[in-house]
Amino acid sequence: MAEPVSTYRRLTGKSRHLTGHSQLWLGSDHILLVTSNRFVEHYQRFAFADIAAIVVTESPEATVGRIVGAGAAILWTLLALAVGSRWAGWGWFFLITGLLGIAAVVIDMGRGRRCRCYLYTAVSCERLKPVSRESTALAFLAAVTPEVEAVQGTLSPQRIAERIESQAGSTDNPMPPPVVAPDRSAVQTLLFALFLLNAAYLLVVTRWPSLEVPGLIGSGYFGEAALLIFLLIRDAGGLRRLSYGVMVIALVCYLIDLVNVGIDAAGWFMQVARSGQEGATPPGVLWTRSARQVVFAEGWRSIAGLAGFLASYYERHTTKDGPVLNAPTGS
Amino acid sequence: MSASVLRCGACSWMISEDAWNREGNVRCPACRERLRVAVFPAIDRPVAGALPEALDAASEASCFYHPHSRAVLPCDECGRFLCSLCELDVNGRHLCPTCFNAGVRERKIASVETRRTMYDTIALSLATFPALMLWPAVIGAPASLYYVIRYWRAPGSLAPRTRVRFYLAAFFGLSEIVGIGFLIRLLILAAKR
Repeated sequence: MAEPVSTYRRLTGKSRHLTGHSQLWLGSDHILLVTSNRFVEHYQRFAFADIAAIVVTESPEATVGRIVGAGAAILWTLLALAVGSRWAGWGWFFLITGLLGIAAVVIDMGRGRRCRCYLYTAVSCERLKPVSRESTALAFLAAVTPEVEAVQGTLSPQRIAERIESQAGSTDNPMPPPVVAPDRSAVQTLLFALFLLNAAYLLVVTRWPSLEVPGLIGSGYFGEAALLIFLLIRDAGGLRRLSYGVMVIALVCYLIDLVNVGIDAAGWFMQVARSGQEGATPPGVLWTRSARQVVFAEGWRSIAGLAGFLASYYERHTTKDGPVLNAPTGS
Repeated sequence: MSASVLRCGACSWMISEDAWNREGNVRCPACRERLRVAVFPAIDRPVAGALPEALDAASEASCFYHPHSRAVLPCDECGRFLCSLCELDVNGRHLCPTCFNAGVRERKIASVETRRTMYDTIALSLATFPALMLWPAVIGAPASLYYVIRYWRAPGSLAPRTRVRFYLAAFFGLSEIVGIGFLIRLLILAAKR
C-alpha cells in the first residue's frame, strides 16, 4: 500500500529548539501547526473559516546583543593568534569555534528583525512560533491572507468603522496606556557578557601570563561595578526576580573578589618594592594571586554570566509570552 | 473575552479597531512596538453554537441522546437520529459523538488526528546513537531493523516526508549486524588458535 501523498505546502521553515522543532504547513482548508519532539509530532489545525485575526508584533532591534555577541566571537577568534605554537591545537579550536560564533551572528543579522505572531480564533489565541522573523511574517501573511479571504471574504472598512462607532463608549481599556518600564535587557546582556569575557580573560592570562594586556583587568572590574550599580541601584524596579537574584549574588562575589584583589595589590606593591631594592625584575600583576583566588574569580564570573543568560532567557519566555486571554465568551 | 479583543503581543494592551487591516505597520499605544494586524470577518462571528429545537409534537423524531430535542439528521455511520447539538460535521459527513470518538480512537478520521509517532526517526536513532558507543549496537541494530520492518507501512508525518530515514536505518542496522557477526567470527577463530 502506497503512502498517500501529502497535500500540504510548506509555509515556514523549521523553528528549532533544544527538544525539537515546529513548522507551519498550508492545507486545502486549514493551516497545520506541527510541533515535534523528533519522535512524536503534535498537530494543531486552524481552519480558514475560523481564523479571526493574525497579529504580528515586532520585537525591539537587538543591536546591543548582536554587537556584544560579535565582539565576544571576534575576541574568541583572536585568541587563536595569541596562543603560541606550543598550543597549536588550541589555536585551531579557538579559530573554528570563533568563526562559527561570528557566522551565527551574521546569519542572525541576515534573517532580519525578530517578531511574534499570534493567531486568533473565536475561542483561542495561539502563538505561532515558526513565524519569528519579520520577513517570515510577511511571507506568511501574504500566503495565508488570500486563502482566508477566499473562504470568509474581506472585512470591509465600513464594518470596521461601525465597530468603532458601536464601541465608542466601551470600557475594555478604561485606563490610559500603562507606563511600561524601560527595557534594560540589553544592559543585562552586556553585564552577563562582561562576566563571561572577564572570566575568559582571567583564564587566559593565568595560563599564559605573557598575554596580559596592562589595564584590561582594571577596566573589566570597573565595567562590572558600573553596570551592577546601574542595574541594582538605579534601575532595580525594571529587573525580574531571577536576574535580580543572580546580580545580588554576583555583587557579593564581586566584593569578596575586590577584597582579594586589594590584598593582592598590596602584596604586589610590596614585591615590586622588594625587587626594586634587590635589583630584580618586578613580578607580573597576577603573579601573586593564589590559585584558589584565581579559580574563585574565574568561577563566579562564569557561573554568574551563564546563570544570568539563562535567567534572562527564562524570564523573557515566561513573562512576555504574549496576550493574556480570559475565558472565552459563553464559558 | 472573545477573539474580537485583539492584544499587543508584547504588552497585552488591547489593539483598537483603528489599527486593523492597515497597509503598513502601526505602533502599540502602550509599548510603542510595531504591529501588523490582519483581521477577517470571522471576528464578528458569535462564539455560541446553535441550540437544539424542542419537540413540538409527539410524532416528530427526537434526538437519540436528547429525547426532548428535535432530530435534524441521522448519523452517517450508525444511523442514530441527532439534534443540532449532537451532530458533528467531519469533512462533509455527519457523525454522532460516539462514532466520532470511535473514529478518533481507531484513527479513521485523519483530519482530527493530533499526534503521530515518527517510527522512521526512532529506527534511525536506534541504528546510529548506540553505535557511537560501540557495544550497545548489539541491541540497537536489531531493534532498528525491527522498527523498520514492523512500522514500514505505518502512517508517517502528515506533512510531506520521504522514507529516507527508514532506508538509512535499514542500511546502518544491517551493516552493524554484519560487522558484529564478522567480529564474533574473528573472536571465535582467535579463540580456536
